[in-house]
Amino acid sequence: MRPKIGVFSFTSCEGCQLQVLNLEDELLHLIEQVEFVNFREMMSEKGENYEIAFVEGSITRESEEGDLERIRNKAGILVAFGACAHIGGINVLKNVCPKDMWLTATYGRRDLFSDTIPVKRIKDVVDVDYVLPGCPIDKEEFLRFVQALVLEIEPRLPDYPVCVECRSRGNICLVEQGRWCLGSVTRAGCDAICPTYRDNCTGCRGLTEDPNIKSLFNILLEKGFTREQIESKFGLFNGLEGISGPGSTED
Amino acid sequence: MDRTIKYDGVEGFIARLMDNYDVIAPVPREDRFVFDLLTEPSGAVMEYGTTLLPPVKWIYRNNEPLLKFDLEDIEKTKAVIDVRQQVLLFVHPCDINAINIMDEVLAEEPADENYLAIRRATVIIGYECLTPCREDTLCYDKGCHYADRGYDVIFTDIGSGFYVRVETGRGKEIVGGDPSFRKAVYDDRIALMLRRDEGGLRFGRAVAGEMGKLSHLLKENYDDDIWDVKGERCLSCGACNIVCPTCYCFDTVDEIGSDMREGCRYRRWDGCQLEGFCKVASGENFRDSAAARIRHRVFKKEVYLKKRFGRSGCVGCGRCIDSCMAGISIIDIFNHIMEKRHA
Repeated sequence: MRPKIGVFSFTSCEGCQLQVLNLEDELLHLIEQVEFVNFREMMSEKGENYEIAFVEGSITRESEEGDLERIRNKAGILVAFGACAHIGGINVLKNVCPKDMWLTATYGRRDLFSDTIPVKRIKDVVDVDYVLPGCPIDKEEFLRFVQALVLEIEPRLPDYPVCVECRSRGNICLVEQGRWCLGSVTRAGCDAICPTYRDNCTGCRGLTEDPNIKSLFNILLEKGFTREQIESKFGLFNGLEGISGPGSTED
Repeated sequence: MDRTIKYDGVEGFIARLMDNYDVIAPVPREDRFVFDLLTEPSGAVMEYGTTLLPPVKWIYRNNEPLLKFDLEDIEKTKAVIDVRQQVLLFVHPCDINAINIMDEVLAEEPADENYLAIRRATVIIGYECLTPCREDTLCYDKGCHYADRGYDVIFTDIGSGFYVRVETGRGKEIVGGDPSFRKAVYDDRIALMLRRDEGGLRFGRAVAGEMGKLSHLLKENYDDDIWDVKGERCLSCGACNIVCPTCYCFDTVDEIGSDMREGCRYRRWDGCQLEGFCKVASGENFRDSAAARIRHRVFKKEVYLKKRFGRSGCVGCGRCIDSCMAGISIIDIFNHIMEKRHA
């Protein structure tokens, strides 16, 4: 029996769903192994008999919480799918701005979408069984993850930081060049794609299990970045992790 | 029989090498250098600072296939070795010494057959250092600024061109039939001696103290504060492991094809500085602090490998120092430990 999969979307750009559709050479093989019953970027049918739910997006309205709980109750396995679902993603930026400011900036008036609430991760509302991190998700990682579920192998994410992949590719360290980079505290699995193309790692895959935030913060301070700058770099994707520089809380 | 080659003869030699081998040579990457597969004979650089990754990584490859399998038929499981005839060109002595260490360690039973097969298919053409290529190295302390074995041939700049010492039969075949080389004569050998003598004087010590006592002193200072001090700073990012020419730890990953049947097991570089490296099935982590992990790295090179093979596992290339964004330096650690002796 092919496991039945539903793919659901909350507040997000739906780019993670598109990553699945980008598996063009693999999709026909994939649907031999699993059955998609609900996946709005791909199909019109909206089946409710799914066993595995991939949930994309963060929770930003109260009504979404009930919808998410209903999905959780139906699905045997629930996967937080992509950075918004996993860590809140860039949506969390709204939590640190005055509501009036961003409502006006976004919609031109303040009375639209007034039922909005501070951004929550999927795990803040329901139990999450697995995470597929990243902005967007890595489509190959998605494929391996689905294979593991079908073959009943425990799916495994890299537990090491992006630096491992970055150095393995023979890249020059961005921090060494005086630039900022969060790769040393960010979970690998992206094959260091951003630093390889000489862009900063913004931490979209979330923190490693035991990140030395304090040391990285100090290193970036020594490189000449201000505390506010560093906090804002962390805040881009990891705004709900409560990261702040030395002198603010502990020191 | 040793040979010489004129400066302008080198490119033609490389072009002819490229006819028969994958030629892996130092090439620029931004303001640094990497060993990469040559596409043009003119691409190789002879004067280069230590490369980002060491050349041995072309023998001990990341994501190298180890095993092919079929999930529905275990009889079809087959060990695979992906061997290509390759030349590592203009390898510095530190990196040649590192390959010598890898050759010895990985030949121990159970031998790493993949490494050994690829190593046998790899020609090493050295390029002797007559001046230190960087500041933060301890190659001289380690006696690894020159190499007396491990290469097939080695080039030395003697002012009029290169002196080419030929060490192996394979080296002899490569340079013997090539029209760019001439037999070395008495004057060439004198020039070589003078150049090497002059060159040696340009190197200096980075560590104060007798290197022969380091292993003993480290053991005496197992509980020193320095491990905690460096551990506070360490990001456990594993950069020092990945760039080290004698770090050989690896993990395996299995990838299964879209038919859900056929798959392949690959080697994936791993490192003892990573937080999960010592995590075992129960969830226990027997080196769960960065301090314990740094101490292990230093002890692995200077105490454990030395005990097993009679020599340090560090060739002093300085890559771990260069790659550490936290600024942790084994030169500082060694100097600290050497000072403890007099405390």
